[in-house]
Amino acid sequence: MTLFDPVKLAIPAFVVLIMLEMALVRRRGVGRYDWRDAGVSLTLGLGSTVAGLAFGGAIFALMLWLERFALFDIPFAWWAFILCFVLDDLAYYAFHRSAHRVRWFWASHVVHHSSQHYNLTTALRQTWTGFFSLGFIWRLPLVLIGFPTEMVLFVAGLNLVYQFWIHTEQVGRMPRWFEAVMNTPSHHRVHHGINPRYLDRNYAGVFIVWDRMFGTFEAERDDEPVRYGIVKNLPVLNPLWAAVHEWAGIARDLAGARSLREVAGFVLGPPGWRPEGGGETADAIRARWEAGQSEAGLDETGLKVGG
Amino acid sequence: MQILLSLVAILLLVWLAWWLGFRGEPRLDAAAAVAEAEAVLPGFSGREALVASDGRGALVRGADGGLAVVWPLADGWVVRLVPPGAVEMLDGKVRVAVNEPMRRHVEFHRGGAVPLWMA
Repeated sequence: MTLFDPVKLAIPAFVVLIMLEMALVRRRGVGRYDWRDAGVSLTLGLGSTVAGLAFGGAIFALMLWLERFALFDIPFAWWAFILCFVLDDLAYYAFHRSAHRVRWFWASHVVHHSSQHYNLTTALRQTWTGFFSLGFIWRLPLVLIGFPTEMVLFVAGLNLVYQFWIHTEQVGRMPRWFEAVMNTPSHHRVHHGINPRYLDRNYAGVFIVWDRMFGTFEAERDDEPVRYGIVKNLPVLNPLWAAVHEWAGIARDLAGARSLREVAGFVLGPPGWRPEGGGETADAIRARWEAGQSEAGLDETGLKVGG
Repeated sequence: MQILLSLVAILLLVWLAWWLGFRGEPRLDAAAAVAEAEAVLPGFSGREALVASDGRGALVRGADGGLAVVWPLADGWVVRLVPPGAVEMLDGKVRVAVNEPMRRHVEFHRGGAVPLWMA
């Protein structure tokens, strides 16, 4: 069965919505745009499309080959699409969590977080090296379960399209029931935050329930505006450097590694890991912040402890 | 064809952003420089700052004597902790060795005399 590509179909809408968002930022004074930053984001998006064209065929072929080992023969039925969409979103959660916790995957995913802005062009700031970092492996179990490759790629496209609209500061909070179940602009703003409270939270793609289930949910707070970017923001506006800087960092660290333990730490440890300890990992930053909160007599919610 | 159309769309959107005035070059004063460093560097507590004469950069001294350099990037800022040995006070200028692949130095004209904490 041949299915259409939801991303390809959505691109004209992406362009129109970015124009609309720019106008809203100008009019309302809420949110930020910068022409140079937008240029870098959109260039990275284009590069990502080119990389997808170059390597997508290999991934498609691998998935087709894996179909012969599938446990079930799942038909192109409406219920299968729904089930595949939900399980694909769970796979996305696993991928996304690993993309923040394992430096090898982060080296590819960091591109998406490397802007200090949060707008619809940030949604298109995507990696060029996803194939190299093997991020696609998280979707392979769906094929092994028995979902047809075309169906998996179709729902993956829908997932990507859904995630476009949540990259904005123009939407405050959605209705309560929606915020409880779905990933929203508010939840995803938290995900892009470098505030210690927000670091490595809200990995969801479409359904925020995964974060609530696995203990990685953090709500956006009105008294703590999100600061966007990465812990060590890029020093220049250069799409090529944005695409490869963490790979260059891994190469530099590996060149100086003195043991297998250090090699493993630099590649598979969390971003910021240092062999001598004291690295600026998300856990270390959060722990330091929590210690500071305790010293100030505040709990994690910012409330005074002990009356 | 798809790539060509995408390129045209990118140029259009970038031009639109520029045309709508999203091309700010913010300036900061000492208080803003300290606030920027504190916001970006968890645990850093700024005490005072040496701000560029045009407000487009600063050197911030922390409560523990540590130093942070702040420099502009598009309409925002980049902040790094730097060791004291990385800072040079030249004739009317401050030069900070950042030693990163894409940025070796940060340099700005200082507004006044060399502050006591950097002398």
